[in-house]
Amino acid sequence: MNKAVVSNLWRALVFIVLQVLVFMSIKITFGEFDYIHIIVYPIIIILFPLNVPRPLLIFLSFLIGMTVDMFYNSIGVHASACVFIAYIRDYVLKYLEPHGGYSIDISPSSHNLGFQWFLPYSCFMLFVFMIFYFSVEAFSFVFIFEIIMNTIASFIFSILFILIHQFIFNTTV
Amino acid sequence: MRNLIALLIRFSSLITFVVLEIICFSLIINYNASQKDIWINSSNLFSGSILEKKNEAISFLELDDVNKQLQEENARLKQSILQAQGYSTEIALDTNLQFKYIPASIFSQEYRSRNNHLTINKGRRDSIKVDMGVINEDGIVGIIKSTSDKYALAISLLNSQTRISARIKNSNYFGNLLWEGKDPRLMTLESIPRYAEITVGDTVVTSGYSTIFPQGLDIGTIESFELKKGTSNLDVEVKLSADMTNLSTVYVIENKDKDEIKALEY
Repeated sequence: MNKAVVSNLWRALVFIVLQVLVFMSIKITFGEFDYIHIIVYPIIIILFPLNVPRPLLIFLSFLIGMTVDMFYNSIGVHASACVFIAYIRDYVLKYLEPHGGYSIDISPSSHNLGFQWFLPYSCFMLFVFMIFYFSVEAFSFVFIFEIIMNTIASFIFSILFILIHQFIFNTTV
Repeated sequence: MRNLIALLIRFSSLITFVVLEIICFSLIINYNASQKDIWINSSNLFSGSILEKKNEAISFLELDDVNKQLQEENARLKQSILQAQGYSTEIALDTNLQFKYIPASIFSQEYRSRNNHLTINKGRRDSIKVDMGVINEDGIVGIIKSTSDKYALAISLLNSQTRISARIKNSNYFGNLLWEGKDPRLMTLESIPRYAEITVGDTVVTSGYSTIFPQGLDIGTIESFELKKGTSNLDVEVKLSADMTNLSTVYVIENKDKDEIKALEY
């Protein structure tokens, strides 16, 4: 098996396990303020190699989302958000394309494309994921305040973990 | 065909995306309680508002049916009240279960002549038979005299032939109720003994000593009473609780055990 497939599989496995065994049970509350949910596993989708066919990426994201959903007891909620960011990833990549273009088989990581490129890319992807996820979780814009608070609070904490991960591990593939 | 495949390939990611999102959302709606509730409620809000508009537009067409339904509902409720009362006093238990209420509307009514009749819009087809009692929400109204397939003619209380066995609720004295032909609001209760302790305002109810009415149905209240000359009986003026000049919805009372009782008596 090719190295990229193996390392991506490992990353997927590790992050899903981390998410459902560790981050799922972390509850940070400040009195009434209980909007912080740490969700890091979208990094699997963010870092998928660029040469993966788009329909396959969307389908794999669906599987990842469903796996997480099984632990969150919210069948379909994570999956729908994953499918959504997998679908828009191409447009985001096109929009952020550097002058030289991408080399086809790399992973869009901080190490490969530079932190200055990676920061807006990962922030945007994760933010979209959060807003989609919390909207679907609430399922009604009656709860617009909760959606916004959840999105912002969770986004800040989750992006921190993702960026720290990028600093620690040089993800090339 | 090749074009179709090319098209499919071109939009493959969009198709995957749409299909998977549809799957996700159907899963969300089907397997998550809170989202399911919200979905049902909001789709109800949407479809509900449209249906409401439609209903507003056509509701008057259905008034007739609605009316009928309400009447039937009322009849059922009346029956269950009677049954409930029956359960509370053991003695009344059997007598009350034997009566059935059939809702009907007054087709034509009169109250000015000496012998008044009512026509109702139900007949043999609706199992209305001669000698059934007719009541409305306030009290008794009349007795069925003859029936056709679709209609029935009832003797109104305001008729010289009317004789109804009535009882004063508090004292249990009973007598015959008849109409003297003067005032459509008043009837006379005969043969109450002079020593009966009655007061103005006492309730007069059916005695239940006939197969026509169950016992305890409202008739009216005592308006006044005086000693009948040459007898030892009181003549009691009873103010009817049913407004005989303005009847619309009535219930016909069917006594299911009538034949059995009749067979026993003769």
